[in-house]
Amino acid sequence: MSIEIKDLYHTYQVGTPYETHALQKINLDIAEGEFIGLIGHTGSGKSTLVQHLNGLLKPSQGQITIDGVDISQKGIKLKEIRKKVGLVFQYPEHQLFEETVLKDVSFGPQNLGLSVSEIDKRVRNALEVVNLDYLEIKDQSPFNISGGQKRRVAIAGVLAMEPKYLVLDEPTAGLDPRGRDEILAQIKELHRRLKITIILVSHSMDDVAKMADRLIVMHDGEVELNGTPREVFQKSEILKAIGLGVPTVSALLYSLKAKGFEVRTDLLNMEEAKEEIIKVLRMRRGKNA
Amino acid sequence: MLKDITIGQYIPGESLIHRLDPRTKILVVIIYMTALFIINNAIGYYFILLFSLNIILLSRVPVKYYLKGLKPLLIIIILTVSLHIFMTPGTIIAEIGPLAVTKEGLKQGVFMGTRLILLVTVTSVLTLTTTPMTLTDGIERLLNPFKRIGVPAHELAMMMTIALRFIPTLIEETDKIMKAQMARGADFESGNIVQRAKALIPLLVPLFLGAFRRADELAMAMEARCYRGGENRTRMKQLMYTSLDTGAMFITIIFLMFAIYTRLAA
Ligand SMILES: Nc1ncnc2c1ncn2[C@@H]1O[C@H](COP(=O)(O)OP(=O)(O)O)[C@@H](O)[C@H]1O
Ligand SMILES: [Mg+2]
Repeated sequence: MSIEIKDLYHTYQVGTPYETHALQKINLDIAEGEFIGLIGHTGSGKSTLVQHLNGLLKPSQGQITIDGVDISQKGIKLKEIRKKVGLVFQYPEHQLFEETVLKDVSFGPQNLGLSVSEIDKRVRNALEVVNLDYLEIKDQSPFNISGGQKRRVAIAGVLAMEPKYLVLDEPTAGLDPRGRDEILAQIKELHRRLKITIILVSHSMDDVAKMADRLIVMHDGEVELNGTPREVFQKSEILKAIGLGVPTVSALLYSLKAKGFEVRTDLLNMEEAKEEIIKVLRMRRGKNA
Repeated sequence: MLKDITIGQYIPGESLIHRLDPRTKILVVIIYMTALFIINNAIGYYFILLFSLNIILLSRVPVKYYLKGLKPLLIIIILTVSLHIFMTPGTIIAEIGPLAVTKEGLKQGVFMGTRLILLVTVTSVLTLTTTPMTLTDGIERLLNPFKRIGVPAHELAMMMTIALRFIPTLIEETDKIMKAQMARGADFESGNIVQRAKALIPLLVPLFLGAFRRADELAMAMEARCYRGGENRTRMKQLMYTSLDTGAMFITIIFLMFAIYTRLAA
Protein backbone atom coordinates (compact mmCIF):
# COMPACT_ATOMS: atom_id res chain seq x y z
CA MET A 1 0.00 0.00 0.00
CA SER A 2 1.27 3.47 -0.70
CA ILE A 3 0.67 7.12 -1.45
CA GLU A 4 0.74 8.00 -5.14
CA ILE A 5 0.74 11.53 -6.46
CA LYS A 6 0.12 11.90 -10.16
CA ASP A 7 0.63 15.12 -12.12
CA LEU A 8 -0.40 17.34 -9.23
CA TYR A 9 -0.85 21.08 -9.75
CA HIS A 10 -2.05 23.60 -7.21
CA THR A 11 -2.79 27.26 -7.85
CA TYR A 12 -3.79 29.66 -5.07
CA GLN A 13 -6.21 32.56 -5.69
CA VAL A 14 -7.00 31.61 -9.27
CA GLY A 15 -8.03 34.52 -11.47
CA THR A 16 -6.75 37.32 -9.22
CA PRO A 17 -3.59 39.38 -9.62
CA TYR A 18 -2.22 37.39 -6.67
CA GLU A 19 -2.45 34.03 -8.45
CA THR A 20 0.36 31.73 -7.24
CA HIS A 21 1.34 28.47 -8.89
CA ALA A 22 2.39 26.75 -5.68
CA LEU A 23 2.75 23.24 -7.12
CA GLN A 24 3.50 22.12 -10.63
CA LYS A 25 3.69 18.65 -12.23
CA ILE A 26 4.40 16.79 -9.00
CA ASN A 27 4.79 13.03 -9.45
CA LEU A 28 5.69 11.01 -6.38
CA ASP A 29 5.30 7.55 -4.91
CA ILE A 30 5.68 7.00 -1.20
CA ALA A 31 5.79 3.39 -0.06
CA GLU A 32 4.60 2.12 3.30
CA GLY A 33 7.31 2.16 5.94
CA GLU A 34 9.51 4.73 4.23
CA PHE A 35 11.09 7.65 6.05
CA ILE A 36 10.95 10.60 3.67
CA GLY A 37 12.66 13.95 4.11
CA LEU A 38 10.84 16.68 2.20
CA ILE A 39 13.18 19.63 1.82
CA GLY A 40 13.02 23.02 0.16
CA HIS A 41 13.41 26.58 1.26
CA THR A 42 10.52 28.77 2.38
CA GLY A 43 7.88 29.16 -0.31
CA SER A 44 8.94 26.12 -2.31
CA GLY A 45 5.54 24.48 -1.82
CA LYS A 46 6.23 21.92 0.92
CA SER A 47 3.27 22.85 3.12
CA THR A 48 0.96 23.07 0.12
CA LEU A 49 2.00 19.59 -0.96
CA VAL A 50 1.48 17.94 2.42
CA GLN A 51 -1.95 19.50 2.88
CA HIS A 52 -3.04 17.58 -0.20
CA LEU A 53 -2.18 14.26 1.42
CA ASN A 54 -5.17 14.31 3.78
CA GLY A 55 -7.58 16.25 1.61
CA LEU A 56 -7.26 19.64 3.32
CA LEU A 57 -6.45 21.12 -0.06
CA LYS A 58 -7.93 20.00 -3.35
CA PRO A 59 -5.68 19.64 -6.37
CA SER A 60 -6.18 22.22 -9.13
CA GLN A 61 -5.25 19.36 -11.41
CA GLY A 62 -3.98 15.84 -10.90
CA GLN A 63 -4.65 12.92 -8.63
CA ILE A 64 -3.71 11.63 -5.18
CA THR A 65 -4.22 8.00 -4.32
CA ILE A 66 -3.89 6.70 -0.79
CA ASP A 67 -3.87 2.92 -0.39
CA GLY A 68 -5.63 2.66 -3.73
CA VAL A 69 -8.33 5.25 -2.97
CA ASP A 70 -8.43 8.37 -5.12
CA ILE A 71 -9.04 11.06 -2.50
CA SER A 72 -9.91 13.86 -4.89
CA GLN A 73 -13.13 12.26 -6.12
CA LYS A 74 -16.47 13.52 -4.87
CA GLY A 75 -18.17 11.91 -1.91
CA ILE A 76 -15.00 10.50 -0.41
CA LYS A 77 -15.04 10.10 3.39
CA LEU A 78 -12.40 12.61 4.39
CA LYS A 79 -12.48 11.51 8.02
CA GLU A 80 -11.26 8.08 6.94
CA ILE A 81 -8.38 9.69 5.07
CA ARG A 82 -7.49 11.93 8.01
CA LYS A 83 -7.47 8.92 10.29
CA LYS A 84 -4.96 7.29 8.00
CA VAL A 85 -2.78 10.30 7.23
CA GLY A 86 -1.88 12.30 10.34
CA LEU A 87 -0.67 15.83 9.70
CA VAL A 88 1.18 17.87 12.30
CA PHE A 89 1.16 21.50 11.22
CA GLN A 90 3.99 23.95 11.64
CA TYR A 91 3.90 25.47 15.17
CA PRO A 92 1.25 22.91 16.24
CA GLU A 93 1.23 24.36 19.79
CA HIS A 94 -0.77 27.29 18.42
CA GLN A 95 -3.71 24.94 17.96
CA LEU A 96 -3.98 23.80 21.57
CA PHE A 97 -7.32 24.84 23.07
CA GLU A 98 -8.49 22.57 25.89
CA GLU A 99 -8.28 23.14 29.64
CA THR A 100 -6.05 20.15 30.25
CA VAL A 101 -3.42 18.27 28.30
CA LEU A 102 -5.47 15.10 28.63
CA LYS A 103 -8.53 16.68 27.02
CA ASP A 104 -6.50 18.24 24.23
CA VAL A 105 -4.75 15.02 23.25
CA SER A 106 -8.12 13.21 23.38
CA PHE A 107 -9.68 15.62 20.87
CA GLY A 108 -8.54 13.66 17.79
CA PRO A 109 -9.47 10.16 19.00
CA GLN A 110 -12.82 11.52 20.23
CA ASN A 111 -13.60 12.84 16.76
CA LEU A 112 -12.92 9.35 15.45
CA GLY A 113 -15.73 8.11 17.70
CA LEU A 114 -13.61 5.67 19.71
CA SER A 115 -14.57 4.15 23.05
CA VAL A 116 -13.47 5.79 26.31
CA SER A 117 -11.06 3.00 27.17
CA GLU A 118 -9.53 3.05 23.70
CA ILE A 119 -9.11 6.83 23.88
CA ASP A 120 -7.43 6.56 27.25
CA LYS A 121 -5.06 3.88 26.00
CA ARG A 122 -4.12 5.92 22.95
CA VAL A 123 -3.54 9.12 24.92
CA ARG A 124 -1.22 7.29 27.32
CA ASN A 125 0.72 5.77 24.40
CA ALA A 126 0.97 9.05 22.51
CA LEU A 127 2.26 10.96 25.53
CA GLU A 128 4.76 8.21 26.23
CA VAL A 129 6.09 8.34 22.65
CA VAL A 130 6.84 12.05 22.99
CA ASN A 131 8.50 11.41 26.34
CA LEU A 132 5.99 13.12 28.62
CA ASP A 133 4.97 11.66 31.95
CA TYR A 134 1.27 10.86 31.68
CA LEU A 135 0.39 11.23 35.36
CA GLU A 136 2.43 14.36 35.81
CA ILE A 137 1.16 16.26 32.79
CA LYS A 138 -2.40 15.08 32.13
CA ASP A 139 -4.17 17.60 34.36
CA GLN A 140 -1.99 20.58 33.58
CA SER A 141 -3.19 23.38 31.35
CA PRO A 142 -1.55 23.16 27.93
CA PHE A 143 -0.92 26.92 28.20
CA ASN A 144 1.15 26.68 31.38
CA ILE A 145 3.83 24.24 30.28
CA SER A 146 7.13 25.03 28.54
CA GLY A 147 7.40 25.68 24.81
CA GLY A 148 9.06 22.36 24.07
CA GLN A 149 6.42 20.52 26.10
CA LYS A 150 3.61 22.33 24.29
CA ARG A 151 5.06 21.24 20.97
CA ARG A 152 5.22 17.63 22.16
CA VAL A 153 1.66 17.70 23.51
CA ALA A 154 0.48 18.99 20.14
CA ILE A 155 2.34 16.24 18.31
CA ALA A 156 0.86 13.68 20.71
CA GLY A 157 -2.57 15.04 19.73
CA VAL A 158 -2.02 13.75 16.20
CA LEU A 159 -0.20 10.57 17.26
CA ALA A 160 -3.18 9.60 19.40
CA MET A 161 -5.17 9.14 16.20
CA GLU A 162 -2.66 6.39 15.36
CA PRO A 163 -2.19 7.31 11.74
CA LYS A 164 -0.55 4.93 9.32
CA TYR A 165 1.21 7.79 7.55
CA LEU A 166 2.55 10.61 9.68
CA VAL A 167 3.43 13.96 8.11
CA LEU A 168 5.26 16.55 10.21
CA ASP A 169 5.57 20.07 8.81
CA GLU A 170 8.78 21.59 10.18
CA PRO A 171 8.35 20.07 13.65
CA THR A 172 11.57 21.62 14.93
CA ALA A 173 10.96 25.22 13.80
CA GLY A 174 11.68 27.70 16.58
CA LEU A 175 13.02 25.14 19.08
CA ASP A 176 16.41 25.35 20.79
CA PRO A 177 19.05 22.77 19.70
CA ARG A 178 18.22 20.45 22.57
CA GLY A 179 14.47 20.54 21.97
CA ARG A 180 15.14 19.96 18.30
CA ASP A 181 17.33 16.91 18.87
CA GLU A 182 14.79 15.43 21.29
CA ILE A 183 11.91 15.75 18.85
CA LEU A 184 13.94 14.35 15.98
CA ALA A 185 15.04 11.39 18.12
CA GLN A 186 11.42 10.69 19.08
CA ILE A 187 10.36 10.75 15.44
CA LYS A 188 13.16 8.37 14.52
CA GLU A 189 12.13 6.06 17.36
CA LEU A 190 8.51 6.17 16.22
CA HIS A 191 9.53 5.03 12.78
CA ARG A 192 11.81 2.32 14.08
CA ARG A 193 9.42 0.91 16.66
CA LEU A 194 5.98 1.28 15.15
CA LYS A 195 7.00 1.17 11.47
CA ILE A 196 4.89 4.23 10.73
CA THR A 197 5.56 5.86 7.38
CA ILE A 198 7.09 9.27 8.10
CA ILE A 199 7.21 12.35 5.91
CA LEU A 200 9.38 14.92 7.64
CA VAL A 201 9.23 18.41 6.17
CA SER A 202 12.20 20.66 6.81
CA HIS A 203 14.27 23.40 5.32
CA SER A 204 17.38 22.17 7.09
CA MET A 205 19.53 19.52 5.46
CA ASP A 206 21.32 18.73 8.72
CA ASP A 207 18.02 17.77 10.37
CA VAL A 208 16.82 15.24 7.85
CA ALA A 209 19.93 13.99 6.09
CA LYS A 210 20.90 11.53 8.82
CA MET A 211 17.41 10.15 9.36
CA ALA A 212 15.62 9.85 6.04
CA ASP A 213 15.77 6.87 3.67
CA ARG A 214 14.87 9.16 0.83
CA LEU A 215 15.03 12.88 0.22
CA ILE A 216 12.62 14.85 -1.93
CA VAL A 217 13.96 18.29 -2.72
CA MET A 218 11.47 20.93 -3.81
CA HIS A 219 12.15 24.19 -5.56
CA ASP A 220 9.63 26.71 -6.89
CA GLY A 221 6.74 24.28 -6.65
CA GLU A 222 8.48 21.45 -8.45
CA VAL A 223 10.34 18.33 -7.36
CA GLU A 224 13.95 19.11 -8.16
CA LEU A 225 15.68 16.00 -6.76
CA ASN A 226 14.37 12.68 -5.48
CA GLY A 227 16.62 9.92 -4.18
CA THR A 228 18.64 8.55 -1.28
CA PRO A 229 20.54 11.16 0.73
CA ARG A 230 23.80 10.01 -0.83
CA GLU A 231 22.42 10.39 -4.36
CA VAL A 232 21.01 13.79 -3.56
CA PHE A 233 24.17 15.17 -2.01
CA GLN A 234 26.15 14.16 -5.08
CA LYS A 235 24.27 16.97 -6.83
CA SER A 236 25.77 19.63 -4.61
CA GLU A 237 25.81 22.21 -7.44
CA ILE A 238 22.04 21.97 -7.86
CA LEU A 239 21.52 22.16 -4.10
CA LYS A 240 23.69 25.24 -3.88
CA ALA A 241 21.96 26.87 -6.83
CA ILE A 242 18.58 26.55 -5.11
CA GLY A 243 20.01 27.88 -1.86
CA LEU A 244 19.95 24.71 0.23
CA GLY A 245 23.55 23.59 0.46
CA VAL A 246 24.62 20.22 1.81
CA PRO A 247 24.89 18.96 5.40
CA THR A 248 27.93 20.12 7.37
CA VAL A 249 29.76 16.79 7.00
CA SER A 250 29.29 16.70 3.23
CA ALA A 251 30.34 20.34 3.00
CA LEU A 252 33.59 19.50 4.79
CA LEU A 253 34.32 16.58 2.46
CA TYR A 254 33.57 18.69 -0.61
CA SER A 255 35.92 21.46 0.46
CA LEU A 256 38.67 18.92 1.22
CA LYS A 257 38.18 17.47 -2.24
CA ALA A 258 38.38 20.94 -3.76
CA LYS A 259 41.73 21.39 -2.00
CA GLY A 260 43.08 18.26 -3.68
CA PHE A 261 42.41 15.54 -1.10
CA GLU A 262 40.97 12.47 -2.79
CA VAL A 263 38.17 11.83 -0.24
CA ARG A 264 34.79 10.27 -0.96
CA THR A 265 32.03 12.86 -0.85
CA ASP A 266 29.00 10.61 -0.36
CA LEU A 267 29.42 10.09 3.40
CA LEU A 268 26.91 11.50 5.84
CA ASN A 269 27.87 10.93 9.41
CA MET A 270 30.76 12.19 11.40
CA GLU A 271 32.27 8.76 12.13
CA GLU A 272 32.45 7.65 8.50
CA ALA A 273 33.90 10.99 7.54
CA LYS A 274 36.55 10.74 10.23
CA GLU A 275 37.63 7.28 9.02
CA GLU A 276 37.74 8.47 5.43
CA ILE A 277 39.87 11.52 6.22
CA ILE A 278 42.33 9.46 8.29
CA LYS A 279 42.55 6.92 5.48
CA VAL A 280 43.30 9.55 2.87
CA LEU A 281 45.87 11.27 5.09
CA ARG A 282 47.64 7.93 5.70
CA MET A 283 47.71 7.23 1.95
CA ARG A 284 49.24 10.64 1.30
CA ARG A 285 51.91 10.15 3.88
CA GLY A 286 52.63 6.72 2.39
CA LYS A 287 53.05 8.25 -1.07
CA ASN A 288 55.28 11.07 0.10
CA ALA A 289 57.52 8.74 2.06
CA MET B 1 -15.45 30.62 1.78
CA LEU B 2 -12.86 32.74 3.59
CA LYS B 3 -11.29 33.57 0.26
CA ASP B 4 -14.43 35.46 -0.79
CA ILE B 5 -13.91 38.24 1.72
CA THR B 6 -12.90 41.30 -0.25
CA ILE B 7 -12.81 44.03 2.43
CA GLY B 8 -9.87 46.27 1.80
CA GLN B 9 -8.98 44.40 -1.34
CA TYR B 10 -6.72 46.49 -3.50
CA ILE B 11 -6.13 45.85 -7.19
CA PRO B 12 -2.74 47.26 -8.16
CA GLY B 13 -2.70 49.52 -11.22
CA GLU B 14 -1.44 52.70 -12.79
CA SER B 15 -4.72 54.22 -13.96
CA LEU B 16 -5.68 57.88 -13.58
CA ILE B 17 -7.89 56.94 -10.63
CA HIS B 18 -5.08 54.98 -8.97
CA ARG B 19 -2.83 58.03 -9.20
CA LEU B 20 -5.24 60.45 -7.55
CA ASP B 21 -4.50 61.64 -4.03
CA PRO B 22 -6.56 59.65 -1.48
CA ARG B 23 -7.99 62.89 -0.06
CA THR B 24 -9.32 63.78 -3.49
CA LYS B 25 -10.86 60.37 -3.90
CA ILE B 26 -12.54 60.46 -0.49
CA LEU B 27 -13.94 63.95 -1.13
CA VAL B 28 -15.14 62.97 -4.59
CA VAL B 29 -16.96 59.97 -3.12
CA ILE B 30 -18.61 62.17 -0.47
CA ILE B 31 -19.71 64.74 -3.06
CA TYR B 32 -20.85 61.95 -5.34
CA MET B 33 -23.03 60.45 -2.60
CA THR B 34 -24.54 63.84 -1.87
CA ALA B 35 -25.35 64.28 -5.54
CA LEU B 36 -26.81 60.80 -5.69
CA PHE B 37 -29.32 61.75 -2.99
CA ILE B 38 -30.14 65.14 -4.49
CA ILE B 39 -31.00 63.77 -7.90
CA ASN B 40 -34.65 62.76 -8.26
CA ASN B 41 -35.50 62.53 -11.94
CA ALA B 42 -34.62 60.60 -15.07
CA ILE B 43 -32.32 63.22 -16.60
CA GLY B 44 -30.33 63.39 -13.38
CA TYR B 45 -30.00 59.61 -13.18
CA TYR B 46 -28.98 59.46 -16.81
CA PHE B 47 -26.08 61.82 -16.16
CA ILE B 48 -24.97 60.23 -12.92
CA LEU B 49 -24.91 56.86 -14.68
CA LEU B 50 -22.72 58.32 -17.40
CA PHE B 51 -20.41 59.89 -14.82
CA SER B 52 -20.14 56.63 -12.86
CA LEU B 53 -19.44 54.52 -15.95
CA ASN B 54 -16.64 56.89 -16.85
CA ILE B 55 -15.06 56.53 -13.41
CA ILE B 56 -15.34 52.74 -13.57
CA LEU B 57 -13.75 52.60 -17.01
CA LEU B 58 -11.00 55.00 -16.00
CA SER B 59 -10.10 52.83 -12.99
CA ARG B 60 -9.18 49.96 -15.34
CA VAL B 61 -10.20 47.46 -12.68
CA PRO B 62 -11.90 44.43 -14.29
CA VAL B 63 -15.70 44.72 -14.00
CA LYS B 64 -15.92 41.35 -12.25
CA TYR B 65 -14.48 42.90 -9.06
CA TYR B 66 -17.34 45.40 -8.96
CA LEU B 67 -19.85 42.62 -9.50
CA LYS B 68 -18.25 40.62 -6.70
CA GLY B 69 -18.66 43.62 -4.40
CA LEU B 70 -22.37 43.80 -5.25
CA LYS B 71 -23.08 40.12 -4.70
CA PRO B 72 -23.44 40.19 -0.89
CA LEU B 73 -25.90 43.11 -1.21
CA LEU B 74 -28.06 41.51 -3.88
CA ILE B 75 -30.80 40.51 -1.43
CA ILE B 76 -31.00 43.97 0.12
CA ILE B 77 -31.17 45.58 -3.31
CA ILE B 78 -33.92 43.23 -4.53
CA LEU B 79 -35.87 43.76 -1.30
CA THR B 80 -35.66 47.54 -1.49
CA VAL B 81 -36.66 47.61 -5.14
CA SER B 82 -39.65 45.29 -4.59
CA LEU B 83 -40.85 47.28 -1.59
CA HIS B 84 -40.86 50.43 -3.65
CA ILE B 85 -42.51 48.82 -6.67
CA PHE B 86 -45.35 47.26 -4.69
CA MET B 87 -45.85 49.67 -1.82
CA THR B 88 -46.01 53.07 -3.52
CA PRO B 89 -49.60 54.28 -4.01
CA GLY B 90 -50.53 55.72 -7.43
CA THR B 91 -51.81 54.74 -10.87
CA ILE B 92 -52.01 50.96 -11.11
CA ILE B 93 -50.45 49.55 -14.29
CA ALA B 94 -50.38 45.83 -13.44
CA GLU B 95 -51.65 43.44 -10.79
CA ILE B 96 -49.92 40.27 -9.64
CA GLY B 97 -52.29 38.50 -7.28
CA PRO B 98 -52.86 40.73 -4.27
CA LEU B 99 -49.94 42.96 -5.23
CA ALA B 100 -50.36 46.03 -7.39
CA VAL B 101 -47.61 47.64 -9.44
CA THR B 102 -48.02 51.37 -9.76
CA LYS B 103 -46.39 53.70 -12.24
CA GLU B 104 -44.91 55.80 -9.47
CA GLY B 105 -43.74 52.66 -7.65
CA LEU B 106 -41.96 51.32 -10.73
CA LYS B 107 -40.20 54.62 -11.17
CA GLN B 108 -39.21 54.82 -7.50
CA GLY B 109 -38.05 51.19 -7.53
CA VAL B 110 -35.79 51.69 -10.52
CA PHE B 111 -34.39 54.89 -9.02
CA MET B 112 -33.71 53.31 -5.64
CA GLY B 113 -32.10 50.24 -7.20
CA THR B 114 -29.83 52.39 -9.34
CA ARG B 115 -28.98 54.52 -6.34
CA LEU B 116 -27.91 51.56 -4.21
CA ILE B 117 -25.92 49.90 -6.96
CA LEU B 118 -24.10 53.13 -7.80
CA LEU B 119 -23.42 53.82 -4.14
CA VAL B 120 -21.71 50.48 -3.62
CA THR B 121 -19.91 50.49 -6.95
CA VAL B 122 -18.40 53.95 -6.64
CA THR B 123 -17.31 53.25 -3.06
CA SER B 124 -15.65 50.12 -4.44
CA VAL B 125 -13.75 52.28 -6.93
CA LEU B 126 -12.24 54.03 -3.92
CA THR B 127 -11.23 50.87 -2.06
CA LEU B 128 -10.15 48.91 -5.13
CA THR B 129 -7.79 51.61 -6.36
CA THR B 130 -6.35 52.79 -3.04
CA THR B 131 -4.19 50.75 -0.69
CA PRO B 132 -5.66 50.59 2.83
CA MET B 133 -2.60 52.43 4.16
CA THR B 134 -2.99 55.32 1.75
CA LEU B 135 -6.69 55.43 2.49
CA THR B 136 -6.21 55.81 6.24
CA ASP B 137 -3.50 58.36 5.59
CA GLY B 138 -6.02 60.35 3.58
CA ILE B 139 -8.66 60.04 6.30
CA GLU B 140 -6.20 61.21 8.94
CA ARG B 141 -5.28 64.27 6.92
CA LEU B 142 -8.91 65.10 6.21
CA LEU B 143 -9.74 64.80 9.93
CA ASN B 144 -6.76 66.95 10.97
CA PRO B 145 -8.71 70.22 11.11
CA PHE B 146 -11.13 68.63 13.61
CA LYS B 147 -8.34 67.81 16.06
CA ARG B 148 -8.96 71.15 17.72
CA ILE B 149 -12.47 70.09 18.71
CA GLY B 150 -11.11 66.88 20.21
CA VAL B 151 -11.27 64.38 17.35
CA PRO B 152 -8.33 61.97 17.86
CA ALA B 153 -7.51 61.92 14.15
CA HIS B 154 -4.14 60.21 14.41
CA GLU B 155 -5.27 57.54 16.86
CA LEU B 156 -8.34 56.74 14.78
CA ALA B 157 -6.25 56.41 11.65
CA MET B 158 -3.62 54.26 13.40
CA MET B 159 -6.32 51.95 14.76
CA MET B 160 -7.81 51.62 11.30
CA THR B 161 -4.42 50.98 9.75
CA ILE B 162 -3.65 48.23 12.25
CA ALA B 163 -7.09 46.67 11.92
CA LEU B 164 -6.85 46.65 8.13
CA ARG B 165 -3.32 45.32 8.28
CA PHE B 166 -4.44 42.40 10.44
CA ILE B 167 -7.57 41.37 8.53
CA PRO B 168 -5.63 39.21 6.05
CA THR B 169 -3.44 37.85 8.87
CA LEU B 170 -6.46 36.83 10.90
CA ILE B 171 -8.12 35.24 7.88
CA GLU B 172 -4.94 33.30 7.19
CA GLU B 173 -4.69 32.27 10.83
CA THR B 174 -8.34 31.14 10.89
CA ASP B 175 -7.73 29.08 7.78
CA LYS B 176 -4.65 27.45 9.30
CA ILE B 177 -6.23 26.62 12.65
CA MET B 178 -9.35 25.26 10.94
CA LYS B 179 -7.22 23.00 8.79
CA ALA B 180 -5.13 21.86 11.75
CA GLN B 181 -8.26 20.91 13.72
CA MET B 182 -9.77 19.26 10.65
CA ALA B 183 -6.58 17.20 10.44
CA ARG B 184 -7.50 16.02 13.95
CA GLY B 185 -10.93 15.01 12.70
CA ALA B 186 -12.85 18.17 13.66
CA ASP B 187 -16.00 18.78 11.66
CA PHE B 188 -17.13 22.37 11.12
CA GLU B 189 -19.73 21.69 8.48
CA SER B 190 -22.34 19.26 9.78
CA GLY B 191 -24.56 18.82 12.79
CA ASN B 192 -27.29 20.95 14.32
CA ILE B 193 -26.80 24.50 15.53
CA VAL B 194 -25.66 23.51 19.05
CA GLN B 195 -23.14 21.02 17.70
CA ARG B 196 -21.86 23.58 15.23
CA ALA B 197 -21.44 26.23 17.90
CA LYS B 198 -19.54 23.76 20.05
CA ALA B 199 -17.36 22.79 17.11
CA LEU B 200 -16.18 26.40 16.96
CA ILE B 201 -14.45 26.28 20.36
CA PRO B 202 -11.31 24.55 19.02
CA LEU B 203 -11.14 27.33 16.41
CA LEU B 204 -11.98 30.37 18.53
CA VAL B 205 -9.77 29.70 21.55
CA PRO B 206 -6.51 29.49 19.58
CA LEU B 207 -7.63 32.36 17.35
CA PHE B 208 -8.20 34.75 20.28
CA LEU B 209 -5.03 33.66 22.03
CA GLY B 210 -3.13 34.28 18.81
CA ALA B 211 -4.71 37.70 18.34
CA PHE B 212 -3.80 38.77 21.88
CA ARG B 213 -0.27 37.47 21.45
CA ARG B 214 0.07 39.44 18.24
CA ALA B 215 -1.35 42.61 19.76
CA ASP B 216 1.11 42.32 22.63
CA GLU B 217 4.04 41.80 20.31
CA LEU B 218 2.98 44.66 18.09
CA ALA B 219 2.63 47.07 21.01
CA MET B 220 6.07 46.08 22.22
CA ALA B 221 7.61 46.45 18.77
CA MET B 222 6.02 49.88 18.29
CA GLU B 223 7.23 51.06 21.65
CA ALA B 224 10.72 49.70 20.99
CA ARG B 225 10.75 51.94 17.94
CA CYS B 226 9.72 54.95 20.00
CA TYR B 227 6.14 55.26 18.83
CA ARG B 228 4.31 57.72 21.08
CA GLY B 229 1.27 58.89 19.16
CA GLY B 230 0.85 61.42 16.42
CA GLU B 231 2.65 64.40 17.83
CA ASN B 232 5.60 65.56 15.75
CA ARG B 233 5.39 62.41 13.72
CA THR B 234 6.61 62.85 10.16
CA ARG B 235 5.73 60.49 7.33
CA MET B 236 7.69 58.59 4.77
CA LYS B 237 5.27 59.16 1.90
CA GLN B 238 3.99 62.72 1.80
CA LEU B 239 0.60 63.07 0.20
CA MET B 240 0.66 65.52 -2.65
CA TYR B 241 -1.98 67.26 -4.67
CA THR B 242 -1.23 67.42 -8.39
CA SER B 243 -3.01 69.06 -11.30
CA LEU B 244 -4.74 65.70 -11.75
CA ASP B 245 -6.44 66.22 -8.38
CA THR B 246 -7.42 69.78 -9.20
CA GLY B 247 -8.96 68.52 -12.46
CA ALA B 248 -10.86 65.73 -10.73
CA MET B 249 -12.24 68.08 -8.05
CA PHE B 250 -13.26 70.62 -10.70
CA ILE B 251 -15.18 68.03 -12.73
CA THR B 252 -16.87 66.68 -9.62
CA ILE B 253 -18.02 70.09 -8.45
CA ILE B 254 -19.46 70.90 -11.88
CA PHE B 255 -21.22 67.57 -11.71
CA LEU B 256 -22.65 68.39 -8.28
CA MET B 257 -23.94 71.76 -9.50
CA PHE B 258 -25.54 70.00 -12.43
CA ALA B 259 -27.23 67.53 -10.10
CA ILE B 260 -28.69 70.39 -8.04
CA TYR B 261 -29.81 72.11 -11.23
CA THR B 262 -31.71 69.03 -12.55
CA ARG B 263 -33.60 68.89 -9.27
CA LEU B 264 -34.48 72.58 -9.19
CA ALA B 265 -35.43 72.66 -12.86
CA ALA B 266 -37.84 69.76 -12.56
N1 LIG C 1 -3.25 30.27 1.60
C1 LIG C 1 -2.47 30.74 0.62
N2 LIG C 1 -2.94 31.67 -0.25
C2 LIG C 1 -2.17 32.13 -1.25
N3 LIG C 1 -0.91 31.77 -1.49
C3 LIG C 1 -0.36 30.86 -0.66
C4 LIG C 1 -1.11 30.30 0.44
N4 LIG C 1 -0.30 29.42 1.09
C5 LIG C 1 0.87 29.44 0.45
N5 LIG C 1 0.85 30.29 -0.61
C6 LIG C 1 1.96 30.54 -1.57
O1 LIG C 1 2.31 29.30 -2.17
C7 LIG C 1 3.71 29.15 -2.26
C8 LIG C 1 4.15 27.91 -1.52
O2 LIG C 1 3.94 28.08 -0.14
P1 LIG C 1 4.14 26.93 0.94
O3 LIG C 1 3.51 25.69 0.45
O4 LIG C 1 3.69 27.47 2.24
O5 LIG C 1 5.73 26.75 0.95
P2 LIG C 1 6.69 26.18 2.07
O6 LIG C 1 5.89 25.38 3.04
O7 LIG C 1 7.69 25.37 1.30
O8 LIG C 1 7.35 27.36 2.71
C9 LIG C 1 4.31 30.44 -1.69
O9 LIG C 1 4.61 31.29 -2.78
C10 LIG C 1 3.21 31.02 -0.85
O10 LIG C 1 3.28 32.42 -0.83
MG1 LIG D 1 5.71 25.70 5.13
